[in-house]
Amino acid sequence: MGSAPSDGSGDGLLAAFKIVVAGGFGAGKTTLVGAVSEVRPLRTEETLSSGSIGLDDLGGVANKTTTTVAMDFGRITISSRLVLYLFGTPGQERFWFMWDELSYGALGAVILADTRRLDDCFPSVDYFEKCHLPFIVAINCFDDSPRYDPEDVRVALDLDPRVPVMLCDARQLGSVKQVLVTLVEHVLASRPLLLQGPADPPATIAAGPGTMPPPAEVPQAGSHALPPPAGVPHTGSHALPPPAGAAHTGPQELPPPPGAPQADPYSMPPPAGMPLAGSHALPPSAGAPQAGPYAMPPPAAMPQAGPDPMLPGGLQVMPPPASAPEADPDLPPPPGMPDDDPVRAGLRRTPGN
Amino acid sequence: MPPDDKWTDRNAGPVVRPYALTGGRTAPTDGEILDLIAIVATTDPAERDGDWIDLSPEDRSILGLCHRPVTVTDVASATLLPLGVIRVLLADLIARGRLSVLPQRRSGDQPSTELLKEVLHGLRAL
Repeated sequence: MGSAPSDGSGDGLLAAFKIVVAGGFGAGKTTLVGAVSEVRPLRTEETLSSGSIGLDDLGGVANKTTTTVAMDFGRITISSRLVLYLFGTPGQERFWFMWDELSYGALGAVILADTRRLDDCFPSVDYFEKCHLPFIVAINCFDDSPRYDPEDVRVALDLDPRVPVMLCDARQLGSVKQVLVTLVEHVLASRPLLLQGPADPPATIAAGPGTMPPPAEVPQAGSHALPPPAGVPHTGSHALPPPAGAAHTGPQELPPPPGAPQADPYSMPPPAGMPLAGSHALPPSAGAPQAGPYAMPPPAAMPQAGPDPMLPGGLQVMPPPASAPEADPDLPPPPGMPDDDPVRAGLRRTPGN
Repeated sequence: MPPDDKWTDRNAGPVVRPYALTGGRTAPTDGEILDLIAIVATTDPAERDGDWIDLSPEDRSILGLCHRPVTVTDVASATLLPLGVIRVLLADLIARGRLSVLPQRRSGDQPSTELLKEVLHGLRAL
């Protein structure tokens, strides 16, 4: 996973690093790369044609009329001898063959998540977990997307507790910069582990990512959906307009495959949402005891917790273990803790096969 | 623009199919695939005045870019040629001794922590 072709020994030599920007179709990868690149990204946005219908799922991003058919790349000159490249992965499934090439020798990866279609980034998480490439998850805060707590996303994605999850605005230089800083810090923090070899034997990774118990025996029908915002107390307790069901129309239109354990998450359509809000008892919203720790700032004034004056985009980096709420019987167990509750486990990403 | 010229408009795309430049080859002859961020440079600083008569215009523009070390990605970006084509052309130039690839780490190696910290500081300073 080393990424520097050159040792930089000598004057004017380059050392080049690359960072992979992954995420689902329409998650904002091109925007993120363009926000920090000093060169015009080699984007090849093409008008979505009728040939894409059925291939490029526009659920939730209906206004998207172009898509990236070639790879995005952006360039950041760190110094006269260091250059950082950002490569955006093609979002469409039919271009996944390019991922191996993009990830080869990469420093790390940023997975952009769109909470309207969170399941789109499951394959990215699976992929980077399998190839042991350090990655972080950046939740791109679209203007019209529901706001979720990063920890909720962590649970839904079944992430290793060490993986940073943060909010970002892919359009803002400051925000993207913070994403990249977080990634490089994460890579540095992961180094001792990498140098000692993978933290987990590959077999464990294959069976169930990270430290989570493999939820294989749990009914997985609803594993590809975030808890609907309506049922989530902390969103309701704020002035945020409760995201209508429309935000989830994409994933929920398909009936869940009957108990099908996700044989191949790389090729199957998202098995749909689930009868989640009512039947899967999330913490009741009435008391909203966790409004404090989970408090999501309203969209207009995102920077709240840990404000960083350097960040115009507004960022809220949630260090993985820190935000575990105090023990409350109604609360889900802190993310990353072994969790045998099938209800909670049902919200999770299906482990990669 | 005269109407006759509209087929050569830049937006019309390449007049010649990209892989015509490589003689139809889609992979380098020696099988070595250059990494996206592999760094190439001309082997001889005097290459500028070298014998370019046997070189195609694409080869010449590539050599012109490689007077200082550049990455494969930058070459592809600057020449507006597809990456696959650039890889074949670069491999040909390397095989002919016109270009060399700067020493690379093996893929399993880690960049040094010092370099990573330099990257981190550079990012913070953006």
